[in-house]
Parts: sequence; structure tokens; C-alpha cells
Amino acid sequence: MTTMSSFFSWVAQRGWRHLVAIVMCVFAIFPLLYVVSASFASSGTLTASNQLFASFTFDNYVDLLSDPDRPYLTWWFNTLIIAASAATIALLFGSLAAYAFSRLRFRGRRIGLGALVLTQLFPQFLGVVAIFLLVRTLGDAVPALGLNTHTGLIAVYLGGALGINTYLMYGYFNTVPREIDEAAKIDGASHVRTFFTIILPLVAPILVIVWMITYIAVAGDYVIASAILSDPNMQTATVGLFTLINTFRSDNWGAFSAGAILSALPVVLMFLYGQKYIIGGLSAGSVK
Amino acid sequence: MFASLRKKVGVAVAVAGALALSACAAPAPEVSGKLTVWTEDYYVAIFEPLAQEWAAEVGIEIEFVTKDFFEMTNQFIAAVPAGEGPDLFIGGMATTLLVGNGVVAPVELGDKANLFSANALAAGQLDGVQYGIPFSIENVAVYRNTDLAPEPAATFDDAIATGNELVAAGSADSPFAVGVGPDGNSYLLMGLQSSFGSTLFDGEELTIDDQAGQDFAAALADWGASGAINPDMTLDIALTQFKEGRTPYLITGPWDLNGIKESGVPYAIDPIPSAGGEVAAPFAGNYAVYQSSEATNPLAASLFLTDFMTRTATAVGIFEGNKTLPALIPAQEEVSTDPDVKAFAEIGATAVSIPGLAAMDQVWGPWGETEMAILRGQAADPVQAWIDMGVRIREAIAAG
Amino acid sequence: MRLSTTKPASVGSALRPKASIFGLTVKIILIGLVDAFGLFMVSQFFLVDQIGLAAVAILGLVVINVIYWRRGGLAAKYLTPGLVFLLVFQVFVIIYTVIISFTNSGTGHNVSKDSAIESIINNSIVRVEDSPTYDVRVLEQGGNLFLLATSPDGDFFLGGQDEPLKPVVPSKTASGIATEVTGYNTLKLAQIFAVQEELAELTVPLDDNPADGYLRSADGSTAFVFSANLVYDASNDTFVDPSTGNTFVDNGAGNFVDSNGEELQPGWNTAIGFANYAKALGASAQVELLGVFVWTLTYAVSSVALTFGLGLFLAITINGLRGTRLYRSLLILPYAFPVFLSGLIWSGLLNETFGFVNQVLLGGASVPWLQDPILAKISVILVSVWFGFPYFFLVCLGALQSVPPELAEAARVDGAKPSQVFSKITLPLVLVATSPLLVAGFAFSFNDFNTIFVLTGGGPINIDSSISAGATDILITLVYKQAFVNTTVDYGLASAFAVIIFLVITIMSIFLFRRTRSLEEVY
Repeated sequence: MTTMSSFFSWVAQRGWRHLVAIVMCVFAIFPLLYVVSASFASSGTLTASNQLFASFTFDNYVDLLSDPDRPYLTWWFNTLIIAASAATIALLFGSLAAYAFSRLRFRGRRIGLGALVLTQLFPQFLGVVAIFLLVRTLGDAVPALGLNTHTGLIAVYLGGALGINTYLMYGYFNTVPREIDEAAKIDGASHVRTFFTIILPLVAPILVIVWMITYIAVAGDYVIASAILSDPNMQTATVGLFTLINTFRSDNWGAFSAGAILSALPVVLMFLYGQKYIIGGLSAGSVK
Repeated sequence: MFASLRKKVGVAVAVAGALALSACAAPAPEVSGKLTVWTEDYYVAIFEPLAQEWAAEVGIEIEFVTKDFFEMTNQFIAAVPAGEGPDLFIGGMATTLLVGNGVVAPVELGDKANLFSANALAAGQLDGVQYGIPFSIENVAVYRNTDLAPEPAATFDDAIATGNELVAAGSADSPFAVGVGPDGNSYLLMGLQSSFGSTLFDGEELTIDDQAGQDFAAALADWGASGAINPDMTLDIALTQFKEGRTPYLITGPWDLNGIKESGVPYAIDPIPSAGGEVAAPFAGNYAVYQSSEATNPLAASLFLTDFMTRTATAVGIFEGNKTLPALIPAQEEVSTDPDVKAFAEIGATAVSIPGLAAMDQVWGPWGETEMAILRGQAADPVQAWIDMGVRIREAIAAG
Repeated sequence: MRLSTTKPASVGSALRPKASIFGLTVKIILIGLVDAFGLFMVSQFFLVDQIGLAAVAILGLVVINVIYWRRGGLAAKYLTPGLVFLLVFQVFVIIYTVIISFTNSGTGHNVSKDSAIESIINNSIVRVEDSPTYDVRVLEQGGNLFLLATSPDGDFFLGGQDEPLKPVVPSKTASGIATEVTGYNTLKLAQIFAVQEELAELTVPLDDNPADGYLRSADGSTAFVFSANLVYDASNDTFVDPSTGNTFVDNGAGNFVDSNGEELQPGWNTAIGFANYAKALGASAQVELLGVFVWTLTYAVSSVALTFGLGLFLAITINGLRGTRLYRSLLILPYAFPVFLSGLIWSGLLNETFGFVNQVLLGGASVPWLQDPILAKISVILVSVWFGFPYFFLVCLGALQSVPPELAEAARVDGAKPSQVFSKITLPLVLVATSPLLVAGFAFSFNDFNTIFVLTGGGPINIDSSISAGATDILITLVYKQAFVNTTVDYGLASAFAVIIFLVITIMSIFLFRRTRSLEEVY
């Protein structure tokens, strides 16, 4: 009887949460099992069979990594470099801007905040022609910022990332009590010091999150990356992989799935590792 | 004073740096000499080994760039005027479009023009000028599983009857496989449509919605309702069902031949069975190589077209990869011993060319959509839906 | 305790000298580098004759230096790094798109007028029918190229650019092909490659009468006789067909046309005023478009609301559970795969006849998930939630960390129930931190091309629609269908639509912002 009631109270307090978590995890994962299955299958199709894991072979991975026409490893590292650089620099710029909006009072602050988000409302998908022409013009003068360069692509992403990131961090910075800045100021720390050594460590969770969100957005982008990078050795994994399957001769699904899984790995590993910074020691006082 | 000193130091650092950067960038190396070719993944794999051998012989360098099949034509059109395009472009024939955008250069084959199948060559011409050099002539056919259906079907109705018996007996899942889903595939269905005597254009006059076309629309509605053609069947599912022996018939092209061979299913290649009484003539598609109008290596590019592409060894080599009838006549003779090629070529002899009109761009969309709606039973009156489609296409062509 | 007030003080006291030498050095180096790069860019812009851009770059450099070297203006110092990129790559792109929207840019009008003229000239040069094939060698003298031609009759000629062919006596091969002429240097293939662009331009007149045609060689070993069937008259800016006298004139919309309306291809890129807007608004005048607009709004709002709701709910529910690390890692997985891949998988899963959901989960049911107009709308919303909830899950996870535990603790001490703590303390604080993202998320969903396009392509099709709008078509997928018809691409029209959509969504967002501002003031 006691065990029963303690079971029910466990269900009421925690058990249902486990249930929700498990159901949602299944919802999140089951479509992806198709990708995993296709990556180990010999048939080269994606959804034509409802029998998952009917065959098991590493051929797709071997194909993917050994075909000289598909420099997948190069794509993989390109993605890592482009997405990590863009995410890091965007994080720096975004946090500087968020600090200004959160801590400093200046003319046009409200309007500026609004304008920042308004620029993000532009359907970039339809603006890609302009981006292409702009990067080409820049590249005529400064080849390092031109078409087919990683630096050029990173620069485009930096322009696109500022608005949302700033907003996300602005909200978080606002939750850090101002007294902390004041105390540092009284102690004679310069604003730069205060920002880098006091504020940033306090907002570490949002920094990790913004970094990851930017990384994922950049790594998953197809429209801009495919417009700017045409040389296969410069492309990102998303662009390179898409050329494998965007055809009516659809027998590349196995290699494509293998590639998609290898591309998702860094994100998953980063999250596993980054979680502790997001949660920190902070969950102690949260909802129980 | 301190502030002004800071400014001076800053400016000095800046100028020094700018000079250093300029020094690095100053001698912009103008050495190209490398022939660049854009094409899809599939043809990179087929062309590259052959072309590298040729390039070594001629003494130039050649580089293949893999492009996205559905995007590459537009990317080529955008990149050439920007000076970012390749020297050569390999893809489906698109002469009207490419010339209309000023991105391809004329080629003069001279007497070597006689080496090519005249129809294929004509698809690469506009106003009598040759632009695209064809290499493969492609058409679809019916692959038949000879275990399930030992004899070729005389008519489409026979094929469906056989298929339905097999499904009823539990030895097949679908009576007939054609990958029309989810968005429609009028290219694959053209054989069935033309067996009603339906054509798309007569000259520049739209004929798709004439009586023959309307008859096809009515038949399509029946097929959708009876399950003869399943609108949910995608290319992927159709091919997989055939390879796994779960359907007796599959409409597809030679590009799936190697995959079907590997699956071990016993197959024969048949003409598309007639549904409307006349010959079921599929589309003939041509693949071609074009030279960019802004090629940085015009001589090497033109040698690629007039020398490499006119060699029998090249055409046979491409055939080994794509199993598709070569456009080069000496190569056709050489590969005609292959029974599959022979079968495709015989069916191809009845094939109709895709109209080389700019107006075709306005046809594909409404055509595929209407077929799909009829197959799904979403059109209350299929014949009326077909007539409405004709109206829409005409309006779109007129609007331009 | 999360926030130590003693720590900043101790750090601060170590930094008492306000402008440290270290800080100054870093500043000089950083700004020096920026200036160096800026001046380099300016010089390069001058080199490629982009005077306007050079001026913009100079102005930008001056502004940057003023911002960082003057005292005060602290906010600008923090904002500038990001703003530079924002201005160049976001604002400028918007301006550029506006410019494109006033042009006919797109298929058939893809190049400048000069290149179009060049292309027409090149394409009009056709081989004279039944004319002989010449064997040629490429010769060089004083930096100019010449063709040494052997006619089919075995006669030998030499000629160059604008120098008509004249008979010569060359050295020749055993088979009677001319190879060399004294005073000229015969080029080997490798040498010809070095001059191939000049060779491509080389036209050698057959004789003094240009109408007789030119000799041209594309490959350096054979030459054919060509003549032009169109002649460009630069003084009148017209093309004339010499055989018929038919004249093609610039029609002001990027094409040469004759009196019968026949156009020469290619056309060129030129300004056409408000024509694209007229076309876009003409299409918008359809009543049907209102339906698409309403659906776009419905999609955007429900997608964001559900995505955010689920993300927040999960972030809260899973917090502090045993195995929470594993749960979290699994929950972000949908986010780690590109949308077009998972979209294709979902469209396969939801296939009516063959899909996993109907076949396996529902034991052979035939639910038309993506075929029925209503069900398809629900399906795309649900799948968009699958795509998007990990994003808000992550964001809310972060936002929850910003809720000071003391607040919740204090409320609890005051006797608030856990549900009250949540609804009165946690939720409002999380909303403050995330509400601007809801607006941005709304804008994103409003233009969420990928999800719709990959999943349904806008379908199920409605063949009665005069604007080809399927049941799940949102504005941006409809624009795509209008401006990118198969291989015909109309960038001008697409840009005009982009500008219109931008204006519409801006107005709606400003309205939404007014609402969120009142939220923010809660804090």
C-alpha cells in the first residue's frame, strides 16, 4: 500500500515528466532512424522501404569518404571552419551590441533595437541575387571577400546574424543586475574590462546557446552557400551533399544519409559537451 | 595631445598594413589555361576519366565541377555574364534558353557534323547555328520482370490486367510502377499520352488540349481510380518495388539499367504498351555539351567539342557509364550488340523530341499539376480540367 | 549563490589605472588593422574603377576612426563592429534588391547591353553554306596573329586581322599542307593555347569585299568561311540584316526588335520602371491571394506558438530529471539535420499509400496526410513544429537559467504554490527574454520556404486556382512559382515581390512589437 502510494506520488511528481520526455524523444528521433537506416542500407533509397535496418553495410560510408569527385572530408572541415568562425565572430559582435543596448542609454536606442529586428524580416531567399552581385563586386576589388571564398561567405553570415543574436542576448543581459557593473565601475575597472571579465562569464549559458544556434544555422544553410561557393573543394557539406540527391537519378541516398549523419555529429557532440555550461550549477534553485 | 599621438600611431600602422596587403595582392596572376567543366555528379563520374586522358594527350589541364542537377542551368546562366562561369557546360539540351541568355557560343563542326544523328544534332541548333554538341539520346521504356510477366503486354490494359492478377495472387504489390508522385511527372507519362495520338504542339500551335489529349485525361482518371497508376508512387518507391520483384512493370530510362541489373531481377525492355491504340512514343531527350560565350579558354573548349566529343572512343566510353544510346553514329554501331541498348534504340526510333520552344516552359507546370489532380480524383470532371489546363497554358504563353 | 558581489570588486581594484597601456596597445593594433584593411580596400576599389565604392569605403573608415578615437560615444564603440557587417550585407542587400526590382533582370535579360550586342554579333556569324574547309596554321609576326591556309584545291594563302588573304609560297608537308612562311613564326599547339583568346577574335577577310566573308579558325587547325547575317550599326544603335534590309531597333525594354515584333536574342538587363510592381500587384489583386495571405498568417502564428510552447514546456518539464542530459541531447537532434533532408523523410513517412505512418503506425490506414487540403495544412504545421521546437527548447533552457533562483525561492517562502511560482515569476521572466524572438520567429515562419517546399511543394494542387496556389502554399512559395517558372527566372519580379512582402511583414511586426514592448515593461 505504501509502495503503491509512493509510486503514485512519484508518477504525479516526476513519472509523468519522464513519460513526456520519452514520448518526445521518440517523436524527435523516429524520422531520423530512416536516415540512420538508409546510411547502412545497400539499396540506396530513403523512404521506399518501411523495414528499417533490413540490411547493414558500411559501403555508403566507404563510398562517401573515398570518392574523389565528392571531397566529403573537405566539405566536412569547410563546414566546421565556416560555421565555427561565423558563430564565434557573430557571438562577439552580438554580445558587444547587446551590452550596449542593455547597459548604455543613448539616442535612438529603442529605434535601433527595432530596426535591428526589422532588417531580419527581409526574405533573404529572394535577396540572394543581390547577395551574389554584392559579393562579386567586393571580390573584384578584394579577392579574399569574393565569390568562392570562405571569408566572403562568413562575412555575409555575420551581416545576417547580428539582429537575432543581439536580441537574444539583450534579453539575457537585462537579467544581470546592474549593481554588478556599478560595483566594478566604482572599483575603477574600465568598461571593456567589466564587459569581458565580469559580464560575459555571467551570461555564459546564453553565449553557448547563441554560438550553437548560429553554428547550426550556418552549417545548415543551402541558399546563400550554394550561390557563393561553386568550387566543390570550397563547398560546405550541406551544399555538396545536396548536389548528390537533387536529381531524378536518385540512387545516392545511402551516401547522402551517411554524409548527413557525419555532418550532424559535431553539433550533437558540441551540445553534449556544452550542456554543462548552459545549465552550469544553476539548476539548483529552479523548478522542482 | 595624447589623443593626437594615438591617431598618428594608428594611421601609421594602417598605412603600413595597407601597403603590405597591396604588395601581396599586386601581381594578380593571370595564368588560367585550365579548362573548367560544369555538370551534375552523375556525368562528372562518367566524363572525367575520359576527358583527363584526352587533356593529357592534347597538353592542357581540365577540371570538373560538380553542380546540382536542378540548379546548374540557372547557375550557369547567372555565372557566365558575371565572368564566374566555366568554359564548358554539360547537361540536358536547352539550346533556346541558353542562346536566349547569351551564355553559349556557336560551334562549327564542319564535316564532322555528318558523324552525328541528325535529330540529336538538330536539338543543339537554333536558326541553323550549332551550339550544343549532343552525346546521348535518351528515352524511357518499360522494364518487365520476366518471372512475373513472361510475355510483353500488347496493350496497357493487358499489362494492368496481368498486374492485377499478380497483386490478387499476392505475388506483387503494385500492378504497374511509374514514379509520378508526389508532384506529377508528365515526362514519364508522355508515352501513354501519345498513344492516344496526343501531341503538345503543332509548329507553334498548342495541341495538348485537343480531342486526343482529352481522351488521355479521361483514361488517366480511370487509371487513378482503379489503382493502375498510383499517384503516391515516387521515383524512389517505383524503382525499389521493381528491384525487389514486387511489381511486374516499371517505366523508367536507361539511367536505372545498371541498378536494375545489380538487383538480379530478371528483366526485359519493352516498348511502352499502347493505351489509346496508337504507338506509345516516349520523349526523346538529348544530352549535350555547350561552350560558354565567355570561355577563358576558347581554343581548348572548342577542341573539346570538335575533337574529343567527335571521337568514337569518347562516345563509347560515355556509353559504358550511362548505358544510353550515343548520338555519334560510329559509336551507335559499335554498341548496338548490347541487347538492352538495342531495345532502347528501337523504342527511341518512335520517340518524339521535346518541343524546342520557349513556350514549353509554360507547359510543364500546369501539365504535371493537372495530371496529378486527375489521378488523385481531385478534378470533378477530368476532361474539363484538361481543357482548363489548355486555357491556362495559352494565357501563360500569351503573357509571356 | 550565483552572483558574487565581492568578486567584481577584487578584480576591479587590480585594474585601477583607467586606460592601461595594454588596453591602449590592443586598441591601436586592432584599429590599425581595420584601417590597413580599409585603405587596402579603397586602393583596390580605385584600381578596378569602382570610384563610388571607394568613396563609401573612405567614408566608412573616417566614421570608424572618429567613433573609436573620440572620447565618449561609448555605445557606438560597442555597436560598430556588428553594424558594419549588418550595413554591408543586410541593409545594402535590401537596397540592391530594391534596385533589381526596377529592372527586367532575369532569363533572357541576363547580361549588359554591350555583351548582348557582342553575343548577337557572334551568333549572327554563320558558316557560308557549302563553303570549303581550309587547313590552317596559326602564325605570328610582331605580336599579331595570321592564318596560313591551304585550300581544298591545294592553293596557299596568308592573311591576318583586317588583312585579306593573299597567295603565298610556303614550306609544306608531304601531304601538301602549308606549314611555314619566311618571316613568320608558326605557333605550336602549346603556344596557340597561350593566345587562344586572340585567336577566337581573329577574322581574316577572304578578299577586299567584306560581303564575301571571313576565315575563322576555332581550333587552330581548320578554318571555315563565315559571313554575318546581321550587321550592327553603332551610330544608330540598330542591327540590320544585309540580305533583307530588315532593321532591329532598341525597344527600350532590353531587346532589339524589328517592325514585326521579332526579338533578337539575347536581350539585356535594363531599368523598366514600375513594371514589375504592376505585375506583382496585378497578381495580388486576385481575391484568392487573400486566402493565401490568411493561411500564411495562420501557418506563421500557429507554427511559432506551438514550437515555442512545446520548447518551453519541455525545457521546464525535463529540467532536473534523472537522465536529463540524455533527454536534452536527443531532443535537439531534429535541429542538427538540414530541413530539406528531414522534410523529404517526412514527406515519405506521410505518403498515403506507402508511408510508415499509415502502413506501420496505423496498420494500413489510408489517411491522406498531405493530400487532403485541410489535413495537409495541419500536417505541415506539425512537421514545422518538429523542425523548430529544439530551437525554442534551447532558447528557453537559456532563458530559464536567467530567472534568479532567489526570486522563486522568495515566492515559495511567501507561500506561493509551485504553479503560482511558475505562472507569476518564471513564465513572465522567460517571456521577457524571449518575446522579441517570437516576433523574429513569426517573421521566419512567414517566409519559411524550405518546410513548405520540401514537404508538399505547396500542394495539394488546386487546379481551379488562377494563380496556381496549392492548399499549403504560403506567400513566398507562391512568389517562387510566379517568378521562377521552370527554367525561366524573373529576378526583377522576384525582387519586387520581396520588397512588397518585406513591407507587409514590417508593418505587421511593428504592430507586434508594440504589444511585446508592453510585455517588456513588466520587468
